[in-house]
Amino acid sequence: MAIAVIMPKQGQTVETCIITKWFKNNGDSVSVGDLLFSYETDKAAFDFESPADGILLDQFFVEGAEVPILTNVAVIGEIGEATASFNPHRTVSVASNPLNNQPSAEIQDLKIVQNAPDSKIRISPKAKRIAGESGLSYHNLHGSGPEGRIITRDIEKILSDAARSAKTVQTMGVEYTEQPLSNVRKLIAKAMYSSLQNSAQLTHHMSADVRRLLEARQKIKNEISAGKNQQDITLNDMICWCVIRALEKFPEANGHFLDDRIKTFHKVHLGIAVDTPRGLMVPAVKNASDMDLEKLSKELKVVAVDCRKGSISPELLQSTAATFTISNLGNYGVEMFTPIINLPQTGILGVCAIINRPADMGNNLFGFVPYIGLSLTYDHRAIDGGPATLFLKEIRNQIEIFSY
Amino acid sequence: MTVIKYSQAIRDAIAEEMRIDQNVFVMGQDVETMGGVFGCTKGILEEFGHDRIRNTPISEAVIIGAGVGGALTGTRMLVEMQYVDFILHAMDQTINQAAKVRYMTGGKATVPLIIRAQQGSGRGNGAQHSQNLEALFCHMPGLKVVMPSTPYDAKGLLKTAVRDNNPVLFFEHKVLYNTKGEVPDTDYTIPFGKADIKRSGKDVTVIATSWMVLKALEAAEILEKQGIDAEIIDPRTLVPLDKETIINSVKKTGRAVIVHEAHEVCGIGAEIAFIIMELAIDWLDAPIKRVTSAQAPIPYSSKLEKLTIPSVDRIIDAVKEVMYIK
Repeated sequence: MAIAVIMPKQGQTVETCIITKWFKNNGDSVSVGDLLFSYETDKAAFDFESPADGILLDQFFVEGAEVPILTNVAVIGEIGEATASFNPHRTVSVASNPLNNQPSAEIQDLKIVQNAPDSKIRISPKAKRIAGESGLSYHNLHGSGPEGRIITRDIEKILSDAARSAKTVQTMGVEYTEQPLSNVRKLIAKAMYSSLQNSAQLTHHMSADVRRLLEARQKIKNEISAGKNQQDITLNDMICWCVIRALEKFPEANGHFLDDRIKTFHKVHLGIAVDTPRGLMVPAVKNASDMDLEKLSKELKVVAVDCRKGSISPELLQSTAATFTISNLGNYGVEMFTPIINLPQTGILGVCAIINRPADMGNNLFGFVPYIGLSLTYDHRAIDGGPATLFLKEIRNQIEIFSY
Repeated sequence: MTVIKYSQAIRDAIAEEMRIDQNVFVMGQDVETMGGVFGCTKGILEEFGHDRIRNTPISEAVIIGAGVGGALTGTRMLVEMQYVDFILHAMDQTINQAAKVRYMTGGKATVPLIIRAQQGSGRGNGAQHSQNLEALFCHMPGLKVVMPSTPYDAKGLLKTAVRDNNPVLFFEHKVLYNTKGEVPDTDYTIPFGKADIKRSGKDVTVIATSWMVLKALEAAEILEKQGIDAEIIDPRTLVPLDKETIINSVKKTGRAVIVHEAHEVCGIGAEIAFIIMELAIDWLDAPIKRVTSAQAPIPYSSKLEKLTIPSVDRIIDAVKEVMYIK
């Protein structure tokens, strides 16, 4: 029994998604969990896994096509099964470049259609050869020749669009590659630029004695190796937990600055910066202040994994989903940095590397103590320097009095 | 370079070759004083005398039969058919004898026979005086088939034909005799089997023969104004055929239109189209189109004649069709 592959609904506001890549072609056999295609909303990119075992019988859209949500994207079934009834009966224009918003008049005649299940694909030998040499799939193209015959100009159009998307250019001996921005990249660029343009942010740096955290971390490791505890709570989890405690004491840092008013949240919804192959994502852990350390640790892992898998809900990626953000570059050895606020949030904490520093151990004895760098960027429109410093000191305090 | 008429180019080629080679002999109906219907042998008698040029009875079988005999005995026989239509009287002499003697004698005998004939429509001469019969002869092994479209080509190719040791059918066109073109003042020949690109273009290949080359060029001028850049190829000799030039052009443009005045069915266009299919199918972006005469006798009425044979408009339409332009 053939089943339809449906473009999922990603959040309440998403109406269409762009198919960015097909990993399977018509006629390929697929199994549950196989990567079928990847797609993007204007906020994030996702992978779609095959919901069934069978043969990919028909793709209704090509790469670059913008597909309304809940529309049939493809059909999986057995060889010979009819797919016409799944056809979304829709003719969708392919943007000349899905990521390029400039309207392209001449591309309008390029249609993606469902070729009737048993119909022969009409393509000129030349177009077929060029498509073959370029590894281009033309099975769902509707050509501009008579009766929809795919001809060379159709293939060349697609190829030149593809070439536009990534081409190495050599002019006067200077080689470079030009690539249009992905939706995720565009989003990051816009958010970061807008943050620096539209706020009064500055960064304070401080360090916290991290010995208690390291002890706790060692204890957890020991417990895991002794089989007493299965949950691997990381240093970052602990720092997040400490920051949440500090935010509870400084609610003004746990809010959104909305130009004419400040929204202060009663609970902490913690944003956490996650590096993914598609770029930076900042998912929120909702109601993080209600969680104990174990629960928080679990949830932080869940959102990070979802981001990397591409299955994170776009709602959690909106900057308004979190009330405060933590960005940890400590693993990379960064000693201090100036993280950029995810507006309308009013602060972001950059967590830096642990450095051994000389410290007064008492009785005029000096020794080396591991300190973790903390870089708090705050929006001076919302918070003054004094409270910001006190808030940062409270974070340090929470780290230094931490007990597990 | 001198600008001369196509008929003058033929006359010059004959005279020059007769001066170079004592063995060249001209024979045909009214070729002596009248110089043939189109004056292509005018002045030959005065210069070379009756030993080198002879009128014949109205018997094509005699003309070509004697031509084969003369050629076999060491003369370069240049014979003329008043109208190509009449060669049908001499098909045995042409196809069974001229085309095969060299093969039948194991190469011991050669037949340096040139059969000049004017063919085609354009003068309202009626169904029995307006045909294009090149395909009949292309079909038969042992014959070479030449169809020049310009004075330059006519002269260079005819000189090559006279020097060839095999029977050559040299098809002139009655409409082309009065066309003019530049011809070198010095001796030159044009090799058989070498097509000429009459106009370079990148969008579509138009392969045309004889008079149709001129129509194709006219069409190309109009198409150029509409943004279509047509390449016009004149094969000049159909046997041997320059496949390479045709294929290279089609590989460049991805499209081909073949224009000939002969009828479509089993015409040279079918042969060329097949060669393109064989050698360049993966470069074709559209089906090949043919523009030919209707599959009907050529009407006597000039108006109907015009409708029967390929026109500039029909060539333009065919080009647009393979370009997928409405």
